[in-house]
Amino acid sequence: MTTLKANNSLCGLDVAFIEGAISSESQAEEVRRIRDNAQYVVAIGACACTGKPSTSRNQFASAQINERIRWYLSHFDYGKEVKTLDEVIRVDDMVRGCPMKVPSFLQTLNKYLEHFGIVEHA
Amino acid sequence: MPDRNIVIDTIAKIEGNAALKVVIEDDVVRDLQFIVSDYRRFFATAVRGRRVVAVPSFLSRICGTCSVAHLFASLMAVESAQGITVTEQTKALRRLAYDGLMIRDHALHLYFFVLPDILGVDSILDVSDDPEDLGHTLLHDSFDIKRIGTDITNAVIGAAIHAPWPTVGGFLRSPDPATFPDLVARLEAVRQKVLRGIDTFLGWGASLVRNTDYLGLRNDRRFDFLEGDVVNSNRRRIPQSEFKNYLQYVQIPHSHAEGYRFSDTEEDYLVGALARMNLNRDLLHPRTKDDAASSLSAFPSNNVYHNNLAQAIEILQCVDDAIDILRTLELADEKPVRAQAQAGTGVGLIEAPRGLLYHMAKIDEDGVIDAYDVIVPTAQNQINIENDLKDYFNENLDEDEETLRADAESIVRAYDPCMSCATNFLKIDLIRK
Repeated sequence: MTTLKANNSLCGLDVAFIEGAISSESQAEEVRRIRDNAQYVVAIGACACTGKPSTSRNQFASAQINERIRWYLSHFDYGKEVKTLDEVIRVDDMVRGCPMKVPSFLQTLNKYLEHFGIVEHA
Repeated sequence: MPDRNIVIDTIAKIEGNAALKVVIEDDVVRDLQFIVSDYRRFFATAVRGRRVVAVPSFLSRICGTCSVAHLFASLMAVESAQGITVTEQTKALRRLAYDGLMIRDHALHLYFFVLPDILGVDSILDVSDDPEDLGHTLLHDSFDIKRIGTDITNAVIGAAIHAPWPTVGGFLRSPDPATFPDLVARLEAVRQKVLRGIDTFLGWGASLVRNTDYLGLRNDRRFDFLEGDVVNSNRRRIPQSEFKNYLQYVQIPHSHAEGYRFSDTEEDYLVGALARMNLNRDLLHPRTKDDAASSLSAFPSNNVYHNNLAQAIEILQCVDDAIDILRTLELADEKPVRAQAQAGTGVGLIEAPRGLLYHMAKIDEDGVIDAYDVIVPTAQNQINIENDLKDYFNENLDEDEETLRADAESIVRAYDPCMSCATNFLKIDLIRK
């Protein structure tokens, strides 16, 4: 949320573009807060759309979960499973790919720019 | 001065999420925690049981910013384990693509994250629209610098992020040499802009000086990010394959990232552009040495803010190195070097933009990953960052809270930490009691 600016406001968003899979309840709460403050939500990239590669740990057999991994899972609020964005909140559009497909992103962006009357339909 | 807690929940303008919590009692910092708050994805576990040929491309997904670094370190670990020696052409093309990565990655950090501190604005979105304004000029310089870095990687490895052409043993596809003359012309044109950036970071008076050890790769033949032995400030020299034996793993109870100590020194250590400039500036390209001479006289330096200046100089180094390669490389039609699957262990140790990056692959006789390990620069810098911040807070406790918060964030930002890599890391909590 603060990658580019220290001072941000989450209120009254037209479109929220969200990347990343959901690894914990605190992340789930954050995207629910964004959903509540945005008219539309677009999932960006494979992590948000498919959960991969973070969902790898959902398939770990118990033998693969060593002491170090168990320490992290128990020491912080890791969710039982990693989830895709649309498993946690309603998603209006998806831009797939890793990295995201640029033409698909531009098409989606233009759709919303037209929808909100910022650019006219070409 | 009253006791207090200072908390910065989310440190702004860095790659990913991290927090800082500081507890001040009786005018002394009692506790300071640099907290990496991104979640781990356990990549090293996820690759166990996979066939090696698919592993480097999967592991490039550790980071969108420096994916080329993870890709190359993984390729080199696998090749070493399989006894594969790549051709001189593959080495030259990897070096060229890596110059492109460094130019783009350093420019993103320096101009999008650090420049607002120098200009006294919150973000690049607040930089003046006046074409006569220096900030406006520098920001537009950065667009050209970033673009040429991206375009080099596009031309040489097929993309800037998660590049498709590099593979175990070489390249699936060779670049089109017809694209080279235009790249050379644009690199020559961008040099003046890179030099304006170097002057800007040299002119910034910010300072935090503390003794520490510096670790980096050194190839005695040239300034190199991909080949060499590890050296430290005492010129102790360690072959790549033995590097991990010198590291002591430190579990950080408050952080999703681990920390490391280097057993050859009593001190903490720093990796990244500042370490490289302190250890290897004698090896820079002659044109870089000539044109950045006044900035180079600032090194060796113990001022952590000079990591920014060192990155700016490295952009010029990569521009000059890329021009040489593009002008002299004659491409032959080569296929990737492959070998019969064999059991073995290999290490790929390279300089990522943020410092030493270690990949270790243990492979079984069927060419399947048995064990994998990744050690990233930000985890190695975690202890050094905390020690720098402790010194800063202890020496500046009389400053108002706004100054303390802003300076703490600038110090962290100077390291160019990457949480995606490290969680594979900042909120700030300042607590005065």
